[in-house]
Amino acid sequence: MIQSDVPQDEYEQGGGPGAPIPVSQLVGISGLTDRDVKLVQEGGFHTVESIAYTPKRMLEQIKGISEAKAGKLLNEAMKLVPMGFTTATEMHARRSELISITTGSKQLDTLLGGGIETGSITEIFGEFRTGKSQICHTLAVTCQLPFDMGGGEGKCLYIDTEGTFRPVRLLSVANRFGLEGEEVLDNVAYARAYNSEHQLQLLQMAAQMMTETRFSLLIVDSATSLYRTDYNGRGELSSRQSHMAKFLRTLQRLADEFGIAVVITNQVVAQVDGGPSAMFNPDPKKPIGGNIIAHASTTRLSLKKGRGETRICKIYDSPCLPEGDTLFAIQEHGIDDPAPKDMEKD
Amino acid sequence: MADLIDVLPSYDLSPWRHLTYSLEKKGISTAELISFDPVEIARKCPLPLKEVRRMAAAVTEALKAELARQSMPPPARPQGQNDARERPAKKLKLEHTDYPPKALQYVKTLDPRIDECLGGGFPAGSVCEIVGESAVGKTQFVLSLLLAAQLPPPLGLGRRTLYLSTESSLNTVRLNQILRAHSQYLNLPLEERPSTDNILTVNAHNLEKQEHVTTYQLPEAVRRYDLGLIVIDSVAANFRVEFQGASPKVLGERAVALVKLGRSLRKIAHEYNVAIVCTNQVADRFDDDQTRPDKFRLMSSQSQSSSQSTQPQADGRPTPNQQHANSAARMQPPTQALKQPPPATRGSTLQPQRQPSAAHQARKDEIMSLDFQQRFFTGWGDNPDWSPFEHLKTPALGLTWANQLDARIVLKISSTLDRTAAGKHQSEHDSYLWSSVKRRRHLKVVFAPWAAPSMDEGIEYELEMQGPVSVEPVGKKRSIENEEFDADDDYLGEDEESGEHAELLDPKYWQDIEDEEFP
Repeated sequence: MIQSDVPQDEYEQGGGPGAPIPVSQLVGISGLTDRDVKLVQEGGFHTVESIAYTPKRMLEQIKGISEAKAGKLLNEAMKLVPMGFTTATEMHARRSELISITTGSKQLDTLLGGGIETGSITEIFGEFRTGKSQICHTLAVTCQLPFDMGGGEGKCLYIDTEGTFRPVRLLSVANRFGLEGEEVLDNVAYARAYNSEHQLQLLQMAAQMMTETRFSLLIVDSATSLYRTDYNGRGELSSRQSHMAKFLRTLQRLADEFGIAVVITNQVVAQVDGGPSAMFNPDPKKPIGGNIIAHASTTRLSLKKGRGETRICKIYDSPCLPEGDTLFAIQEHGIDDPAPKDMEKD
Repeated sequence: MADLIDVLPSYDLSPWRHLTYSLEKKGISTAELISFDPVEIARKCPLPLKEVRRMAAAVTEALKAELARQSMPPPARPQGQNDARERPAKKLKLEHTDYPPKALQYVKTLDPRIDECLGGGFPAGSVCEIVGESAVGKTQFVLSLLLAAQLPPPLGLGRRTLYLSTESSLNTVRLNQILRAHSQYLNLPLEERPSTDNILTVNAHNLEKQEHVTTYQLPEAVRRYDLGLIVIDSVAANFRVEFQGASPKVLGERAVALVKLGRSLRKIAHEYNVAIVCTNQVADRFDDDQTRPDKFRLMSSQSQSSSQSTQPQADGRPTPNQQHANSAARMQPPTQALKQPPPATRGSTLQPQRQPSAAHQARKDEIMSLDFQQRFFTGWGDNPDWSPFEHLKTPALGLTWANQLDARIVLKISSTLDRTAAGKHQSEHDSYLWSSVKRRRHLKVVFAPWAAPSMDEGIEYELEMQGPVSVEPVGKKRSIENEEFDADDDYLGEDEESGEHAELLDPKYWQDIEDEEFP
């Protein structure tokens, strides 16, 4: 219904609906002259559309076009072309095409509304031995499953900063899903990052790889550990945070552009700075990375060790999932539902 | 130029007949003639500069004479200041006859208590900000606004809405959840219900795109689609990534970009009577000694009566003993702290009493510093009953951005022990603390021209299926329930060592007592 509001005659002027509008249409509007249009055409812009969607900076680079003129061109061009806006309904249709990648545990999938969402960043944090890396290993395999089995039919890119990647684990998970071990390993691109700058560079290479073949998952395990060692103290805090913001922004862009799921893990720290309050603080363990990482990740999951093999996963932040928690288990063959005897919480 | 006849009917235009034609053709009014530079008018028309200058001078003269005649006191009344004060007022009225009658239109959150706190909602024609840390519900708020704005007035604006995302794209799943769950929408016939068809969305993943959208696309989109509400979620994300470092040059550039953004948003808001709501991120504030709210409280009590001797240590971390002393201080009727005038005014009232010593000057400087003042516009740190559980935050983008806003609304989240859930996980000691943590959220108006700033914590809300919903304020009924839990707590306390103390330090506990005293 939005589309019908666009004045129809503007299309017709250019010869048939939907046909691009020549730049010459701008002549005479708010002081734009033949000469201006000629300059723009010489600069490589021949349609009003191409002007409307070009940043002002680029227009200013055309010889003879001043800043004021570029602004005027944009203003007028914008009035003639359809906006690049979509309605939420279309957005919803597009979103429902997005798939979720199964974690291997039915309970966990239910909690997450189907699994790890593609197109957004999921952050998993918890203490050591709470199963962060185990979830990553399982996901590296399940993302290769066909769609009807809850997979993403794509390769996995695994960026490891702690040296915890174990291909053997992938083989045992692959066995469980009846996949060929060799193939599974071939489909996991592994990169070890040695410092935070390197970590960011790897993402540039990742973008390159993703244009060549289909990937469905990008794992960074862990996203913050290198920052913890590369930057020290409060003096470097601001540069650490802005570097991290850049890293996360690149991740978000990859998720948007290629429709992949991005999973990052994060460590926690005990809050010691609260002085005596730490003793009474109901929530003493906090994920590191501060507000930057908190704002950047779409879904945040908090892991906690439970009895035996069981672990508890809690939704810490999500735009559309209710707060809740569930039990899952770490088995020989990856993440699974806990055995019935462990299910009884009390 | 024709309006000169209305303004000055008695004025003889004949000497300027040769000029009026050109002036008329270019649409230059009397006001423009006397206020603009004659050079410019002469060039535009084009007319001889000397003639224009002479005419402007003559008209000004005639206007002055007319004004003097009008403001001459009537013979019956003595010359008084009253008259002089009345006249400009009358004139103003004449000029702006259509001015304030248009009442503010609001986009409501559809929760009566939250709307009341916001002074009606988010008004059309203004730029508001919702700021808070991650997981506090900023996006939840704006999502429900996107739907509510489509309702006909007085609940909404009855117009379409736009969502400009700079982080993750519009979550339509959640949007549909709200639409299906909110009773307000369910009661409406299908065709009158807000629809996702009427929500437009666009992504801007870098600053260049964001600027392009806000300066060139938004004004056109508002005109074309009749938008009533524009949401930017969030305004900080791109700025934070693209302006790295804290050197004066970078900060200066960022300030320019922010002011530009603020200007284009305000222009859209005013011109088309659109409500604009931005969300903003936060950064941690590293509390120096002076900026801690408890220090603020101590300072105020010191200057009133020097009996308070608890001073935070040099590193700003009170020792455990002092912590207890602080909580004891909190036990005293907090009205003492509230009654005191704000420190800025006290600084001036103190002046005659004390010698204007160097120490006093230092105190005054400190009060005027940004570190001290920011508590009044950031929304964090202005509560004298500050609890050390709460970490101070600062909205991103600093003072420059705060100046671009009409209103700032702060959302806060805090974790408290949920006594009711405590029983469930007793057997598993490890998970006891974790599962029983309850997150409480508060909304607070920091500044807004149409609403009073919220007192203390503001109002509590929860995020439910239908969006943010306010929670019944802690009143008489709640405190009775608490007493029942307290009785249980004594029993539970054996399981958990820190339970007893935690209860003492829980600010909620003291709050209840106050509420009983002042119902």
